[in-house]
Amino acid sequence: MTAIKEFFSNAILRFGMRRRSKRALTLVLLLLPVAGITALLIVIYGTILIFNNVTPSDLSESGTLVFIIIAGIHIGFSMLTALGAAAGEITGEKQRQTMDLLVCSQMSPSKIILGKLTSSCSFILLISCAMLPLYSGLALLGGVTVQMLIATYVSVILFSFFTASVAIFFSTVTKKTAAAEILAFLIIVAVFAIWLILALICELINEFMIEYMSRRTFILAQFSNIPLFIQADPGCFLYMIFRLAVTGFEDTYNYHGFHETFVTLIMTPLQLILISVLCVLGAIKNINPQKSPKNKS
Amino acid sequence: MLLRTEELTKCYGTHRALNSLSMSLDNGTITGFIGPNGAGKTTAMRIMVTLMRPTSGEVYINDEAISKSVMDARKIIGFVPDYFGVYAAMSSEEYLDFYADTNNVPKAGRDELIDSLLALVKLSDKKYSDVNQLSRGMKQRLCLARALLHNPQLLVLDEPASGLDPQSRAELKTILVALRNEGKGILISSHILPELGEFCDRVVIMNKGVKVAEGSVDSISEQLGEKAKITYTLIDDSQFDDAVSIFRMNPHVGEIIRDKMTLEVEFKGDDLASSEMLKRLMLSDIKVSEVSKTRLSLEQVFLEVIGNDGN
Ligand SMILES: Nc1ncnc2c1ncn2[C@@H]1O[C@H](COP(=O)(O)OP(=O)(O)OP(=O)(O)O)[C@@H](O)[C@H]1O
Ligand SMILES: [Mg+2]
Repeated sequence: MTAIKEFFSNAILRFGMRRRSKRALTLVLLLLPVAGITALLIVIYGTILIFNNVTPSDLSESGTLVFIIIAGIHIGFSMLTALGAAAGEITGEKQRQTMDLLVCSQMSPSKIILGKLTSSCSFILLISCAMLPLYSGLALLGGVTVQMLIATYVSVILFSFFTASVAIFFSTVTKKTAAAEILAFLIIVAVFAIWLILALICELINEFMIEYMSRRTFILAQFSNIPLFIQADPGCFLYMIFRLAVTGFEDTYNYHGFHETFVTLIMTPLQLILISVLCVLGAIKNINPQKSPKNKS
Repeated sequence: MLLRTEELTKCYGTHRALNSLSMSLDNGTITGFIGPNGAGKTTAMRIMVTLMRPTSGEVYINDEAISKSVMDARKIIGFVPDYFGVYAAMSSEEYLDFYADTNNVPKAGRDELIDSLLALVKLSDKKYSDVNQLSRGMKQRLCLARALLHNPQLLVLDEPASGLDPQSRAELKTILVALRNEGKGILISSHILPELGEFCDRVVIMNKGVKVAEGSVDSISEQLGEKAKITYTLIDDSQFDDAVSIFRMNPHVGEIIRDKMTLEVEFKGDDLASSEMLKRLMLSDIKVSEVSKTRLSLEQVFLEVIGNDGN
């Protein structure tokens, strides 16, 4: 409990929150009418559908679809926000020449980075709260469950934390925010792409094996529904967690089986968390003048 | 000893910006850290305040190696860099409050602390002004107040007087002397000696990364060797060569410059030695109409040492 309290008394975190809260408030004020209008449209849309003898199950299906589209936008937007905010955290300090003042204060490098990281994600928290009315508006259509809401928020937290960690790492490496943003963006895209590329290579090998040896490669044999390697892709995690939320555990498990379900649901987040932790540790080391390799000669 | 450095060396690539600097600083003293541009002052100071690691050597604060206990060292050090970093749209009060947070200054009594520091640096009336709109001198003073938030025992100031008008400089001096009298140890850098000479208890003179001299201002001139210029005005044009050869025999004589009928002789000996030289001129029947001896000021000595070293 004291640890949590101490964490939230982090000077940089509180400072960043205070700075952002002004901007965030305007955004929330902007989002509220948007949410209201969306909710109204959904009600009108729903009413029309009902008067056209559409069954509730059709309606709830479209509700689910709209929810997933909006959730996708929410996740993507959170990632971009995290990227932009975190990439500028340390480069901004360097440009304002305030970095040294922080480093030689009594905040340890890890406190500085964790404060910065949380502060850059605080904006997302506010956006996510602002999204709640929109989601509840959608619930009027039906087809929206608490599980789906949980899936959305788990993904937002996981993916924004991942993006912010990568971005803050590059923020400690480069001098310019734009450079940090681009590098972080490339790395994030690479994490998504690498598994797809591996899967593609695997498929090509497979084709080759079928063509010339008339059998599949041994590793591919046991996975039928999703090509190998795509399971470890962060994108596949999104698919799996939403499928789980929409169709339930049993259906998912029966269709995908033990390997696919668990590799995706456990290994993918672990992979993202591992990269995030490495990035955060790297960033902490980079801003520590007593450890930074830049200062050695 | 509050601060002691041992053989500090810092290389940037192949460039040796700091070469085996050993110096020390005690409580209740102001030490001037003087050297021309590129002497390595900022480099040395950044190492002392834990913002950089030396290539070799060690800094001791209260006889603790800072590489062993960085966070402890930071509690004792207050640093004013040679630039003024600040966030946009922030008042002096918010500025100090934020850095009080980062320095673990307790919330209780913080308002009073901020008020008293603002009063110390004569910025009480700027408490709610935007820091970006303060004048340079005010920013320097605010920066000093920031460095004092956690009541550090050692203050390291990098060129705090640069760009200040004489009055602001005098004010800064008064504040520093008051802090010294409280028992704090202060290290202050500058590239102009007179700026510091009058109120520093000790000075360390640097050039090209090397310590040239260290000690009280008075003892420095001794260390650097007392230097004077003696000007002899001769009457007879044909006697110049004889005079020069007499000067050359004297080990205290440095450079000799002829200007029309005068000879300007750089002289490192004492008064007795110079009177001895005059006697020799007389004995050789060289006709001297006028002699004058001018001692170099400390600043001139300093410039000369650095100049000789530089070429
Ligand atoms: N980051 C750096 N990378 C490479 N060389 C550097 C770096 N910082 C300083 N130097 C070099 O080290 C030497 C000492 O620089 P330093 O800034 O310590 O001098 P200084 O005494 O503070 O000078 P000034 O009076 O101009 O502030 C200079 O030759 C400088 O070019
Ligand atoms: Mg300097």
